[in-house]
Amino acid sequence: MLAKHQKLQVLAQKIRCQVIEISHKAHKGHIGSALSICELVAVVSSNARGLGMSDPKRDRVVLSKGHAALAWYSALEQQGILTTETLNTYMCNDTLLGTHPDPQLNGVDFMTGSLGQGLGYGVGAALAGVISNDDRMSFVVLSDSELNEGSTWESAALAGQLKLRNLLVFLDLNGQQALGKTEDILPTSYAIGSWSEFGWNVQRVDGHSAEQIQKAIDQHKRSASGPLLIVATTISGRGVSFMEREVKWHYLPMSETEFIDASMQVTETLARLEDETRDL
Amino acid sequence: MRQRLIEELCKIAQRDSRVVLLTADLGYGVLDKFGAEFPSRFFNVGVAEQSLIATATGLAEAGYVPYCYSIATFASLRGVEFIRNGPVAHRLPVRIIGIGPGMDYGFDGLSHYAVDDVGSLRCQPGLTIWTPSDEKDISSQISFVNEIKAPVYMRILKNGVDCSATRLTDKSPVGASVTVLSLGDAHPIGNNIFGRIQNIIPDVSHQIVTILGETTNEDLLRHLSTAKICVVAENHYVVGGLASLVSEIVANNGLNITVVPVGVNALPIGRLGDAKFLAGRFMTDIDQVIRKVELQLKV
Repeated sequence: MLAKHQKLQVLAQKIRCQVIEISHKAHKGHIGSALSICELVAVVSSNARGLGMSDPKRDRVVLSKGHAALAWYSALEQQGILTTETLNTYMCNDTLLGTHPDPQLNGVDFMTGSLGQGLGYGVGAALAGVISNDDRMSFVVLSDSELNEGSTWESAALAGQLKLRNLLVFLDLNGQQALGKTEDILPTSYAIGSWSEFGWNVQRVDGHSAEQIQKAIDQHKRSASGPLLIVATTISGRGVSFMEREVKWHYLPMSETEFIDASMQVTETLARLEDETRDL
Repeated sequence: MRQRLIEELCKIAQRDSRVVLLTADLGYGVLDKFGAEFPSRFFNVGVAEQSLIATATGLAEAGYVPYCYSIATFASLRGVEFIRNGPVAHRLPVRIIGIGPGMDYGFDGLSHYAVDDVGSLRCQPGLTIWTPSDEKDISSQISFVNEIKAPVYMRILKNGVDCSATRLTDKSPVGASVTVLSLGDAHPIGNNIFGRIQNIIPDVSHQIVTILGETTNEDLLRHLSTAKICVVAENHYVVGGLASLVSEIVANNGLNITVVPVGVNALPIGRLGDAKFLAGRFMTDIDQVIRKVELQLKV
Protein backbone atom coordinates (compact mmCIF):
# COMPACT_ATOMS: atom_id res chain seq x y z
CA MET A 1 0.00 0.00 0.00
CA LEU A 2 2.85 2.33 0.87
CA ALA A 3 4.37 1.69 -2.54
CA LYS A 4 1.09 2.66 -4.24
CA HIS A 5 0.96 5.97 -2.41
CA GLN A 6 4.59 6.72 -3.14
CA LYS A 7 4.10 5.93 -6.80
CA LEU A 8 1.25 8.42 -6.85
CA GLN A 9 3.54 10.96 -5.23
CA VAL A 10 6.15 10.32 -7.94
CA LEU A 11 3.47 10.64 -10.59
CA ALA A 12 2.42 14.00 -9.14
CA GLN A 13 6.02 15.20 -9.26
CA LYS A 14 6.39 14.07 -12.89
CA ILE A 15 3.27 16.11 -13.66
CA ARG A 16 4.85 19.07 -11.85
CA CYS A 17 8.00 18.73 -13.97
CA GLN A 18 5.92 18.71 -17.15
CA VAL A 19 4.00 21.80 -16.04
CA ILE A 20 7.28 23.69 -15.65
CA GLU A 21 8.72 22.38 -18.90
CA ILE A 22 5.67 22.92 -21.09
CA SER A 23 4.62 26.29 -19.67
CA HIS A 24 8.12 27.58 -20.29
CA LYS A 25 8.13 26.26 -23.83
CA ALA A 26 4.79 27.97 -24.48
CA HIS A 27 5.80 31.07 -22.51
CA LYS A 28 2.49 31.00 -20.63
CA GLY A 29 1.26 31.73 -17.12
CA HIS A 30 -1.28 30.04 -14.83
CA ILE A 31 1.69 28.09 -13.47
CA GLY A 32 0.91 28.62 -9.78
CA SER A 33 -2.63 27.23 -10.17
CA ALA A 34 -1.39 24.18 -12.04
CA LEU A 35 1.36 23.44 -9.52
CA SER A 36 -1.09 23.49 -6.62
CA ILE A 37 -3.15 20.58 -7.99
CA CYS A 38 -0.46 18.14 -9.20
CA GLU A 39 -1.15 15.64 -6.42
CA LEU A 40 -4.93 16.02 -6.88
CA VAL A 41 -4.84 15.31 -10.62
CA ALA A 42 -2.35 12.47 -10.11
CA VAL A 43 -4.80 10.75 -7.75
CA VAL A 44 -7.92 11.59 -9.77
CA SER A 45 -6.43 10.44 -13.08
CA SER A 46 -5.32 7.20 -11.41
CA ASN A 47 -8.75 6.53 -9.91
CA ALA A 48 -10.97 7.47 -12.86
CA ARG A 49 -12.01 4.23 -14.55
CA GLY A 50 -12.19 4.37 -18.33
CA LEU A 51 -10.38 7.70 -18.53
CA GLY A 52 -9.91 8.67 -22.16
CA MET A 53 -12.31 5.97 -23.36
CA SER A 54 -15.75 6.36 -24.92
CA ASP A 55 -17.52 3.87 -22.64
CA PRO A 56 -20.69 5.71 -21.54
CA LYS A 57 -20.42 4.11 -18.09
CA ARG A 58 -16.89 5.37 -17.50
CA ASP A 59 -16.17 7.67 -14.55
CA ARG A 60 -16.37 11.36 -15.42
CA VAL A 61 -13.81 14.02 -14.53
CA VAL A 62 -14.47 17.75 -14.43
CA LEU A 63 -11.56 20.14 -14.05
CA SER A 64 -13.78 22.95 -12.85
CA LYS A 65 -10.77 25.22 -12.38
CA GLY A 66 -10.12 25.07 -16.10
CA HIS A 67 -7.27 27.58 -15.98
CA ALA A 68 -5.10 24.84 -14.47
CA ALA A 69 -5.59 22.67 -17.56
CA LEU A 70 -1.87 22.22 -18.10
CA ALA A 71 -1.72 20.06 -14.97
CA TRP A 72 -4.54 17.90 -16.35
CA TYR A 73 -2.91 17.63 -19.80
CA SER A 74 0.29 16.54 -18.10
CA ALA A 75 -1.62 13.95 -16.07
CA LEU A 76 -3.22 12.63 -19.27
CA GLU A 77 0.21 12.34 -20.84
CA GLN A 78 1.57 10.49 -17.83
CA GLN A 79 -1.43 8.11 -17.98
CA GLY A 80 -0.70 7.39 -21.64
CA ILE A 81 -3.85 9.07 -22.94
CA LEU A 82 -2.04 11.93 -24.64
CA THR A 83 1.25 11.48 -26.43
CA THR A 84 4.20 13.65 -25.48
CA GLU A 85 4.07 14.97 -29.02
CA THR A 86 0.48 16.15 -28.46
CA LEU A 87 1.36 17.65 -25.10
CA ASN A 88 4.08 19.64 -26.82
CA THR A 89 1.45 21.32 -29.01
CA TYR A 90 0.21 23.23 -25.94
CA MET A 91 -0.61 26.79 -27.02
CA CYS A 92 0.59 26.23 -30.60
CA ASN A 93 -1.71 27.13 -33.49
CA ASP A 94 -4.13 24.34 -34.49
CA THR A 95 -3.78 22.61 -31.10
CA LEU A 96 -6.51 21.08 -28.92
CA LEU A 97 -4.49 22.06 -25.86
CA GLY A 98 -5.32 25.62 -24.92
CA THR A 99 -5.35 27.47 -21.62
CA HIS A 100 -8.68 25.82 -20.78
CA PRO A 101 -9.85 22.28 -21.61
CA ASP A 102 -11.58 21.63 -24.95
CA PRO A 103 -14.27 18.91 -24.89
CA GLN A 104 -12.98 17.41 -28.12
CA LEU A 105 -9.71 16.46 -26.46
CA ASN A 106 -9.49 12.83 -25.41
CA GLY A 107 -9.62 12.71 -21.61
CA VAL A 108 -11.69 15.87 -21.28
CA ASP A 109 -15.34 15.18 -20.50
CA PHE A 110 -16.42 18.81 -20.11
CA MET A 111 -15.22 22.18 -21.33
CA THR A 112 -14.47 24.53 -18.45
CA GLY A 113 -12.92 27.97 -18.13
CA SER A 114 -15.84 29.95 -16.77
CA LEU A 115 -15.62 29.40 -13.04
CA GLY A 116 -18.64 28.03 -11.21
CA GLN A 117 -19.96 25.79 -13.96
CA GLY A 118 -18.03 22.56 -13.39
CA LEU A 119 -19.71 21.35 -10.21
CA GLY A 120 -23.09 21.37 -11.95
CA TYR A 121 -21.71 19.17 -14.73
CA GLY A 122 -20.36 16.83 -12.09
CA VAL A 123 -23.74 16.69 -10.35
CA GLY A 124 -25.42 15.80 -13.65
CA ALA A 125 -22.83 13.12 -14.38
CA ALA A 126 -23.30 11.60 -10.92
CA LEU A 127 -27.09 11.76 -11.25
CA ALA A 128 -26.82 9.90 -14.56
CA GLY A 129 -25.06 7.09 -12.68
CA VAL A 130 -27.85 6.99 -10.09
CA ILE A 131 -30.62 6.87 -12.72
CA SER A 132 -28.72 4.22 -14.68
CA ASN A 133 -28.11 2.29 -11.46
CA ASP A 134 -24.44 1.71 -12.18
CA ASP A 135 -21.31 2.43 -10.17
CA ARG A 136 -19.77 5.25 -12.18
CA MET A 137 -18.10 8.02 -10.20
CA SER A 138 -17.98 11.74 -10.90
CA PHE A 139 -14.78 13.58 -9.92
CA VAL A 140 -14.67 17.38 -9.78
CA VAL A 141 -11.57 19.47 -9.07
CA LEU A 142 -12.80 22.79 -7.71
CA SER A 143 -10.93 26.02 -7.06
CA ASP A 144 -11.51 27.74 -3.72
CA SER A 145 -12.27 30.93 -5.66
CA GLU A 146 -15.25 29.13 -7.19
CA LEU A 147 -16.86 29.39 -3.76
CA ASN A 148 -17.43 33.03 -4.78
CA GLU A 149 -19.80 31.82 -7.50
CA GLY A 150 -23.46 31.43 -6.54
CA SER A 151 -23.86 28.62 -9.04
CA THR A 152 -21.37 26.49 -7.07
CA TRP A 153 -23.69 26.75 -4.09
CA GLU A 154 -26.76 25.87 -6.15
CA SER A 155 -25.05 22.66 -7.21
CA ALA A 156 -23.62 21.90 -3.77
CA ALA A 157 -27.07 22.10 -2.22
CA LEU A 158 -28.59 19.92 -4.93
CA ALA A 159 -25.89 17.25 -4.64
CA GLY A 160 -26.46 17.04 -0.90
CA GLN A 161 -30.22 16.87 -1.34
CA LEU A 162 -29.88 14.06 -3.90
CA LYS A 163 -27.35 12.21 -1.69
CA LEU A 164 -25.01 11.68 -4.63
CA ARG A 165 -22.47 9.41 -2.97
CA ASN A 166 -20.76 8.84 -6.31
CA LEU A 167 -19.81 12.54 -6.51
CA LEU A 168 -16.31 13.34 -5.24
CA VAL A 169 -15.20 16.96 -5.15
CA PHE A 170 -11.62 18.01 -4.54
CA LEU A 171 -11.48 21.57 -3.25
CA ASP A 172 -8.09 23.09 -4.05
CA LEU A 173 -7.78 25.29 -0.99
CA ASN A 174 -4.67 27.22 -1.98
CA GLY A 175 -5.99 30.46 -0.51
CA GLN A 176 -5.27 32.54 -3.59
CA GLN A 177 -7.22 33.94 -6.46
CA ALA A 178 -6.65 36.35 -9.31
CA LEU A 179 -6.18 39.56 -7.36
CA GLY A 180 -5.05 38.38 -3.95
CA LYS A 181 -5.69 36.09 -1.02
CA THR A 182 -9.17 34.56 -0.92
CA GLU A 183 -9.68 35.56 2.72
CA ASP A 184 -9.12 39.21 1.76
CA ILE A 185 -11.58 39.08 -1.14
CA LEU A 186 -14.49 36.91 0.00
CA PRO A 187 -14.20 34.56 2.97
CA THR A 188 -14.25 30.82 2.30
CA SER A 189 -13.86 29.42 5.79
CA TYR A 190 -17.62 29.15 6.22
CA ALA A 191 -17.87 26.82 3.25
CA ILE A 192 -16.84 23.61 4.85
CA GLY A 193 -19.43 23.77 7.60
CA SER A 194 -22.12 24.76 5.12
CA TRP A 195 -21.44 21.84 2.81
CA SER A 196 -21.59 19.50 5.74
CA GLU A 197 -25.02 20.96 6.55
CA PHE A 198 -26.02 20.27 2.94
CA GLY A 199 -25.33 16.58 3.57
CA TRP A 200 -21.79 16.26 2.27
CA ASN A 201 -19.19 14.02 3.83
CA VAL A 202 -16.31 16.45 4.43
CA GLN A 203 -12.72 15.31 4.85
CA ARG A 204 -9.67 17.51 5.27
CA VAL A 205 -6.35 16.46 3.78
CA ASP A 206 -2.95 17.83 2.96
CA GLY A 207 -3.47 18.45 -0.73
CA HIS A 208 0.16 17.66 -1.48
CA SER A 209 -0.01 14.23 0.13
CA ALA A 210 -1.16 11.72 -2.46
CA GLU A 211 -1.49 9.22 0.36
CA GLN A 212 -3.98 11.35 2.30
CA ILE A 213 -6.02 12.13 -0.81
CA GLN A 214 -6.18 8.46 -1.80
CA LYS A 215 -7.12 7.38 1.72
CA ALA A 216 -9.98 9.90 1.77
CA ILE A 217 -11.35 8.40 -1.43
CA ASP A 218 -10.97 4.83 -0.18
CA GLN A 219 -12.66 5.62 3.11
CA HIS A 220 -15.55 7.34 1.31
CA LYS A 221 -16.12 4.36 -0.96
CA ARG A 222 -16.42 2.10 2.08
CA SER A 223 -18.85 4.12 4.12
CA ALA A 224 -20.39 7.07 2.29
CA SER A 225 -24.02 8.10 2.42
CA GLY A 226 -23.72 11.42 0.54
CA PRO A 227 -21.31 13.25 -1.75
CA LEU A 228 -17.69 13.71 -0.66
CA LEU A 229 -15.91 17.04 -0.31
CA ILE A 230 -12.17 16.63 0.09
CA VAL A 231 -10.85 19.90 1.42
CA ALA A 232 -7.29 19.80 0.14
CA THR A 233 -5.05 22.40 1.70
CA THR A 234 -2.53 23.30 -0.96
CA ILE A 235 0.08 25.90 -1.81
CA SER A 236 -0.14 27.88 -5.00
CA GLY A 237 3.11 27.40 -6.91
CA ARG A 238 3.96 24.31 -4.84
CA GLY A 239 7.41 22.88 -5.44
CA VAL A 240 9.11 26.01 -6.75
CA SER A 241 10.32 28.15 -3.85
CA PHE A 242 10.05 31.53 -5.52
CA MET A 243 6.52 30.80 -6.82
CA GLU A 244 4.93 29.53 -3.63
CA ARG A 245 2.07 31.73 -2.35
CA GLU A 246 2.94 34.49 -4.86
CA VAL A 247 -0.11 35.85 -6.68
CA LYS A 248 1.93 36.99 -9.68
CA TRP A 249 2.48 33.37 -10.73
CA HIS A 250 -1.23 33.19 -11.45
CA TYR A 251 -0.34 35.22 -14.54
CA LEU A 252 3.33 35.43 -15.41
CA PRO A 253 5.40 33.21 -17.62
CA MET A 254 8.95 32.34 -16.55
CA SER A 255 12.11 34.04 -17.74
CA GLU A 256 14.96 31.78 -18.85
CA THR A 257 16.75 32.19 -15.50
CA GLU A 258 13.58 31.48 -13.54
CA PHE A 259 12.91 28.41 -15.66
CA ILE A 260 16.36 26.98 -14.99
CA ASP A 261 15.91 27.50 -11.27
CA ALA A 262 12.35 26.08 -11.23
CA SER A 263 13.30 23.13 -13.38
CA MET A 264 16.23 22.28 -11.13
CA GLN A 265 14.02 22.38 -8.03
CA VAL A 266 11.26 20.13 -9.38
CA THR A 267 13.62 17.60 -10.98
CA GLU A 268 15.70 17.30 -7.82
CA THR A 269 12.54 16.55 -5.85
CA LEU A 270 11.52 14.00 -8.44
CA ALA A 271 14.90 12.29 -8.25
CA ARG A 272 14.64 12.09 -4.47
CA LEU A 273 11.12 10.65 -4.61
CA GLU A 274 12.15 8.10 -7.23
CA ASP A 275 15.09 7.03 -5.10
CA GLU A 276 12.78 6.49 -2.14
CA THR A 277 10.37 4.47 -4.27
CA ARG A 278 13.11 2.36 -5.82
CA ASP A 279 13.90 0.77 -2.46
CA LEU A 280 10.30 -0.35 -1.90
CA MET B 1 -50.34 24.62 -24.07
CA ARG B 2 -47.97 23.73 -21.22
CA GLN B 3 -50.37 21.01 -20.10
CA ARG B 4 -50.38 19.55 -23.60
CA LEU B 5 -46.60 19.67 -23.69
CA ILE B 6 -46.26 17.65 -20.51
CA GLU B 7 -48.93 15.18 -21.65
CA GLU B 8 -46.99 14.63 -24.88
CA LEU B 9 -43.72 14.43 -22.97
CA CYS B 10 -45.20 11.65 -20.82
CA LYS B 11 -46.03 9.71 -23.98
CA ILE B 12 -42.48 10.13 -25.25
CA ALA B 13 -40.97 9.23 -21.87
CA GLN B 14 -43.01 6.02 -21.94
CA ARG B 15 -41.11 4.81 -24.99
CA ASP B 16 -37.84 6.75 -24.55
CA SER B 17 -36.08 5.94 -21.29
CA ARG B 18 -33.54 8.69 -21.97
CA VAL B 19 -36.09 11.41 -21.16
CA VAL B 20 -35.60 13.11 -17.79
CA LEU B 21 -37.55 16.14 -16.53
CA LEU B 22 -35.89 18.77 -14.33
CA THR B 23 -37.70 21.78 -12.93
CA ALA B 24 -36.37 24.89 -11.25
CA ASP B 25 -39.22 24.73 -8.73
CA LEU B 26 -41.94 25.79 -11.18
CA GLY B 27 -44.84 24.02 -12.82
CA TYR B 28 -47.38 23.79 -9.99
CA GLY B 29 -50.19 21.56 -11.17
CA VAL B 30 -48.53 21.12 -14.56
CA LEU B 31 -45.75 18.61 -13.95
CA ASP B 32 -47.60 16.30 -11.55
CA LYS B 33 -48.45 13.76 -14.23
CA PHE B 34 -44.82 13.30 -15.24
CA GLY B 35 -43.70 13.15 -11.61
CA ALA B 36 -46.31 10.50 -10.82
CA GLU B 37 -45.56 8.35 -13.85
CA PHE B 38 -41.76 8.68 -13.82
CA PRO B 39 -40.65 9.46 -10.26
CA SER B 40 -37.11 8.20 -10.89
CA ARG B 41 -36.73 10.59 -13.84
CA PHE B 42 -38.20 13.72 -12.31
CA PHE B 43 -36.12 16.16 -10.23
CA ASN B 44 -36.75 19.56 -8.67
CA VAL B 45 -33.35 21.28 -8.55
CA GLY B 46 -34.74 24.24 -6.60
CA VAL B 47 -34.87 27.88 -7.66
CA ALA B 48 -31.52 27.51 -9.36
CA GLU B 49 -31.55 27.94 -13.13
CA GLN B 50 -27.78 27.78 -13.56
CA SER B 51 -27.70 24.48 -11.72
CA LEU B 52 -30.68 23.41 -13.84
CA ILE B 53 -28.74 23.78 -17.08
CA ALA B 54 -25.41 22.52 -15.73
CA THR B 55 -27.00 19.40 -14.25
CA ALA B 56 -28.81 18.78 -17.53
CA THR B 57 -25.50 19.10 -19.36
CA GLY B 58 -23.97 16.39 -17.19
CA LEU B 59 -26.99 14.15 -17.77
CA ALA B 60 -27.00 14.73 -21.52
CA GLU B 61 -23.29 13.96 -21.80
CA ALA B 62 -24.10 10.59 -20.25
CA GLY B 63 -26.75 9.87 -22.89
CA TYR B 64 -29.93 11.21 -21.33
CA VAL B 65 -32.32 13.74 -22.91
CA PRO B 66 -33.07 16.17 -20.09
CA TYR B 67 -35.98 18.61 -20.33
CA CYS B 68 -35.48 21.72 -18.16
CA TYR B 69 -38.67 23.48 -17.11
CA SER B 70 -39.04 27.08 -15.97
CA ILE B 71 -40.58 30.43 -16.90
CA ALA B 72 -39.11 31.50 -20.24
CA THR B 73 -37.05 34.43 -18.96
CA PHE B 74 -35.49 32.41 -16.17
CA ALA B 75 -34.90 29.34 -18.33
CA SER B 76 -33.29 31.26 -21.17
CA LEU B 77 -31.67 34.36 -19.71
CA ARG B 78 -30.57 33.47 -16.19
CA GLY B 79 -28.43 30.62 -17.41
CA VAL B 80 -27.49 31.86 -20.87
CA GLU B 81 -23.76 31.36 -20.32
CA PHE B 82 -24.47 27.88 -18.99
CA ILE B 83 -26.45 27.13 -22.16
CA ARG B 84 -23.60 28.48 -24.29
CA ASN B 85 -20.78 26.66 -22.50
CA GLY B 86 -22.82 23.56 -21.74
CA PRO B 87 -25.19 22.03 -24.30
CA VAL B 88 -24.17 24.34 -27.15
CA ALA B 89 -20.39 23.89 -26.77
CA HIS B 90 -20.75 20.15 -26.16
CA ARG B 91 -23.52 19.71 -28.78
CA LEU B 92 -25.78 17.92 -26.32
CA PRO B 93 -29.55 17.30 -26.51
CA VAL B 94 -30.63 19.45 -23.59
CA ARG B 95 -34.20 20.77 -23.97
CA ILE B 96 -34.98 24.07 -22.31
CA ILE B 97 -38.70 24.63 -21.80
CA GLY B 98 -39.49 28.34 -21.44
CA ILE B 99 -43.08 29.02 -20.41
CA GLY B 100 -44.63 32.37 -21.31
CA PRO B 101 -43.13 33.97 -24.43
CA GLY B 102 -43.53 37.70 -24.97
CA MET B 103 -45.71 39.39 -22.38
CA ASP B 104 -47.72 36.25 -21.61
CA TYR B 105 -47.20 36.86 -17.88
CA GLY B 106 -49.12 40.17 -18.14
CA PHE B 107 -49.40 41.59 -14.65
CA ASP B 108 -46.14 39.95 -13.49
CA GLY B 109 -44.08 42.62 -15.21
CA LEU B 110 -40.86 42.84 -17.18
CA SER B 111 -39.00 40.34 -14.98
CA HIS B 112 -41.37 37.72 -16.43
CA TYR B 113 -41.53 38.97 -20.04
CA ALA B 114 -39.59 36.85 -22.52
CA VAL B 115 -39.11 39.59 -25.08
CA ASP B 116 -35.40 39.02 -25.68
CA ASP B 117 -34.99 35.26 -25.31
CA VAL B 118 -34.93 34.51 -29.04
CA GLY B 119 -32.44 37.31 -29.61
CA SER B 120 -30.20 35.96 -26.87
CA LEU B 121 -30.20 32.39 -28.10
CA ARG B 122 -30.65 32.66 -31.86
CA CYS B 123 -26.95 33.27 -32.42
CA GLN B 124 -25.87 30.05 -30.68
CA PRO B 125 -24.61 27.60 -33.31
CA GLY B 126 -26.60 24.38 -33.50
CA LEU B 127 -29.29 25.47 -31.05
CA THR B 128 -32.83 25.06 -32.37
CA ILE B 129 -35.63 27.33 -31.19
CA TRP B 130 -39.06 25.73 -31.21
CA THR B 131 -42.05 28.07 -31.01
CA PRO B 132 -45.23 26.02 -31.50
CA SER B 133 -48.20 28.18 -32.41
CA ASP B 134 -50.83 25.98 -30.78
CA GLU B 135 -51.45 22.62 -29.15
CA LYS B 136 -51.67 20.88 -32.51
CA ASP B 137 -48.09 21.91 -33.23
CA ILE B 138 -46.99 20.52 -29.89
CA SER B 139 -48.57 17.16 -30.60
CA SER B 140 -47.43 16.96 -34.20
CA GLN B 141 -43.89 18.26 -33.77
CA ILE B 142 -42.65 17.06 -30.37
CA SER B 143 -41.43 13.66 -31.59
CA PHE B 144 -39.32 15.39 -34.22
CA VAL B 145 -38.01 17.85 -31.63
CA ASN B 146 -37.17 15.05 -29.18
CA GLU B 147 -34.91 13.43 -31.76
CA ILE B 148 -32.84 16.56 -32.47
CA LYS B 149 -29.31 15.68 -31.38
CA ALA B 150 -28.41 19.21 -30.26
CA PRO B 151 -29.97 21.66 -27.77
CA VAL B 152 -33.49 22.99 -28.23
CA TYR B 153 -35.08 26.02 -26.62
CA MET B 154 -38.88 25.77 -26.46
CA ARG B 155 -41.15 28.84 -26.22
CA ILE B 156 -44.47 27.65 -24.85
CA LEU B 157 -47.51 29.80 -24.13
CA LYS B 158 -49.41 29.06 -20.96
CA ASN B 159 -52.66 28.91 -22.89
CA GLY B 160 -52.92 29.37 -26.63
CA VAL B 161 -55.57 29.48 -29.30
CA ASP B 162 -55.78 27.31 -32.39
CA CYS B 163 -53.88 28.52 -35.41
CA SER B 164 -55.43 28.09 -38.87
CA ALA B 165 -52.57 29.53 -40.93
CA THR B 166 -50.05 27.27 -42.66
CA ARG B 167 -46.69 26.52 -41.10
CA LEU B 168 -43.48 27.38 -42.89
CA THR B 169 -41.70 24.20 -43.95
CA ASP B 170 -39.44 23.15 -46.78
CA LYS B 171 -42.62 22.30 -48.70
CA SER B 172 -44.27 25.69 -48.23
CA PRO B 173 -45.31 27.38 -51.46
CA VAL B 174 -43.38 30.41 -52.58
CA GLY B 175 -44.86 33.48 -50.92
CA ALA B 176 -46.79 36.36 -52.41
CA SER B 177 -45.71 39.92 -53.10
CA VAL B 178 -46.71 40.73 -49.54
CA THR B 179 -45.72 38.05 -47.08
CA VAL B 180 -46.75 38.01 -43.44
CA LEU B 181 -44.67 35.83 -41.15
CA SER B 182 -45.65 35.09 -37.57
CA LEU B 183 -43.32 33.62 -35.00
CA GLY B 184 -45.27 30.77 -33.37
CA ASP B 185 -47.61 32.15 -30.75
CA ALA B 186 -47.87 35.54 -32.49
CA HIS B 187 -50.20 34.07 -35.12
CA PRO B 188 -53.29 36.05 -33.96
CA ILE B 189 -51.38 39.30 -34.60
CA GLY B 190 -50.16 38.04 -37.96
CA ASN B 191 -53.64 36.86 -38.86
CA ASN B 192 -55.11 40.26 -38.09
CA ILE B 193 -52.53 41.97 -40.29
CA PHE B 194 -52.98 39.37 -43.02
CA GLY B 195 -56.75 39.99 -43.11
CA ARG B 196 -56.36 43.74 -43.32
CA ILE B 197 -53.78 43.55 -46.10
CA GLN B 198 -56.02 41.13 -47.99
CA ASN B 199 -58.54 43.97 -48.20
CA ILE B 200 -55.91 46.05 -49.97
CA ILE B 201 -54.23 43.49 -52.19
CA PRO B 202 -55.12 39.84 -52.74
CA ASP B 203 -51.53 38.81 -53.41
CA VAL B 204 -50.64 38.25 -49.75
CA SER B 205 -49.63 35.15 -47.81
CA HIS B 206 -49.38 34.28 -44.12
CA GLN B 207 -47.01 31.64 -42.80
CA ILE B 208 -46.17 30.60 -39.25
CA VAL B 209 -42.57 30.01 -38.31
CA THR B 210 -42.50 27.36 -35.59
CA ILE B 211 -38.87 26.30 -35.81
CA LEU B 212 -35.72 28.35 -36.06
CA GLY B 213 -33.26 25.65 -36.96
CA GLU B 214 -30.87 24.25 -39.50
CA THR B 215 -33.03 24.74 -42.59
CA THR B 216 -35.02 27.82 -41.59
CA ASN B 217 -32.86 30.28 -43.51
CA GLU B 218 -33.24 28.31 -46.73
CA ASP B 219 -37.00 27.92 -46.21
CA LEU B 220 -37.39 31.64 -45.61
CA LEU B 221 -35.20 32.59 -48.54
CA ARG B 222 -37.25 30.48 -50.91
CA HIS B 223 -40.50 31.73 -49.48
CA LEU B 224 -39.41 35.37 -49.79
CA SER B 225 -38.23 35.07 -53.39
CA THR B 226 -41.29 36.88 -54.83
CA ALA B 227 -41.93 39.24 -51.94
CA LYS B 228 -41.69 43.01 -52.07
CA ILE B 229 -42.85 43.49 -48.50
CA CYS B 230 -42.45 41.15 -45.54
CA VAL B 231 -44.35 41.92 -42.33
CA VAL B 232 -42.99 39.98 -39.36
CA ALA B 233 -45.14 39.55 -36.24
CA GLU B 234 -43.62 38.27 -33.02
CA ASN B 235 -44.10 38.43 -29.29
CA HIS B 236 -40.55 39.66 -28.84
CA TYR B 237 -38.60 42.88 -29.10
CA VAL B 238 -38.54 44.07 -32.70
CA VAL B 239 -34.76 43.67 -32.46
CA GLY B 240 -33.05 40.29 -32.29
CA GLY B 241 -35.91 37.97 -33.17
CA LEU B 242 -37.53 36.76 -36.38
CA ALA B 243 -37.68 40.23 -37.98
CA SER B 244 -33.94 40.54 -37.50
CA LEU B 245 -33.40 37.10 -39.00
CA VAL B 246 -35.49 38.03 -42.04
CA SER B 247 -33.58 41.31 -42.37
CA GLU B 248 -30.29 39.39 -42.30
CA ILE B 249 -31.54 37.09 -45.05
CA VAL B 250 -32.69 40.05 -47.11
CA ALA B 251 -29.38 41.89 -46.68
CA ASN B 252 -27.15 38.85 -47.14
CA ASN B 253 -28.88 37.89 -50.37
CA GLY B 254 -29.28 41.35 -51.84
CA LEU B 255 -33.07 41.09 -51.94
CA ASN B 256 -35.21 44.13 -52.62
CA ILE B 257 -37.70 43.60 -49.82
CA THR B 258 -39.00 46.01 -47.22
CA VAL B 259 -39.14 44.32 -43.84
CA VAL B 260 -41.82 45.65 -41.47
CA PRO B 261 -41.28 44.41 -37.91
CA VAL B 262 -44.24 44.08 -35.56
CA GLY B 263 -43.36 43.37 -31.96
CA VAL B 264 -42.47 44.94 -28.64
CA ASN B 265 -40.94 48.29 -29.50
CA ALA B 266 -40.53 49.91 -26.07
CA LEU B 267 -39.19 48.91 -22.67
CA PRO B 268 -42.33 47.37 -21.15
CA ILE B 269 -42.26 48.93 -17.70
CA GLY B 270 -44.37 51.54 -15.93
CA ARG B 271 -47.81 50.10 -16.76
CA LEU B 272 -49.25 46.61 -16.26
CA GLY B 273 -52.26 44.94 -17.75
CA ASP B 274 -53.52 41.96 -19.68
CA ALA B 275 -52.07 40.85 -22.99
CA LYS B 276 -54.38 43.06 -25.04
CA PHE B 277 -53.59 46.13 -22.95
CA LEU B 278 -49.85 45.47 -23.06
CA ALA B 279 -49.90 44.98 -26.83
CA GLY B 280 -51.61 48.35 -27.26
CA ARG B 281 -49.14 50.02 -24.95
CA PHE B 282 -45.82 48.46 -25.89
CA MET B 283 -46.17 46.82 -29.31
CA THR B 284 -46.06 48.17 -32.83
CA ASP B 285 -49.28 49.93 -33.83
CA ILE B 286 -51.05 47.82 -36.44
CA ASP B 287 -52.67 50.84 -38.14
CA GLN B 288 -49.20 52.25 -38.77
CA VAL B 289 -48.12 48.90 -40.18
CA ILE B 290 -51.01 48.91 -42.64
CA ARG B 291 -50.28 52.52 -43.67
CA LYS B 292 -46.65 51.57 -44.26
CA VAL B 293 -47.69 48.64 -46.44
CA GLU B 294 -50.08 50.88 -48.38
CA LEU B 295 -47.33 53.43 -48.88
CA GLN B 296 -44.96 50.78 -50.18
CA LEU B 297 -47.61 49.42 -52.51
CA LYS B 298 -48.47 52.99 -53.54
CA VAL B 299 -52.15 52.25 -52.90
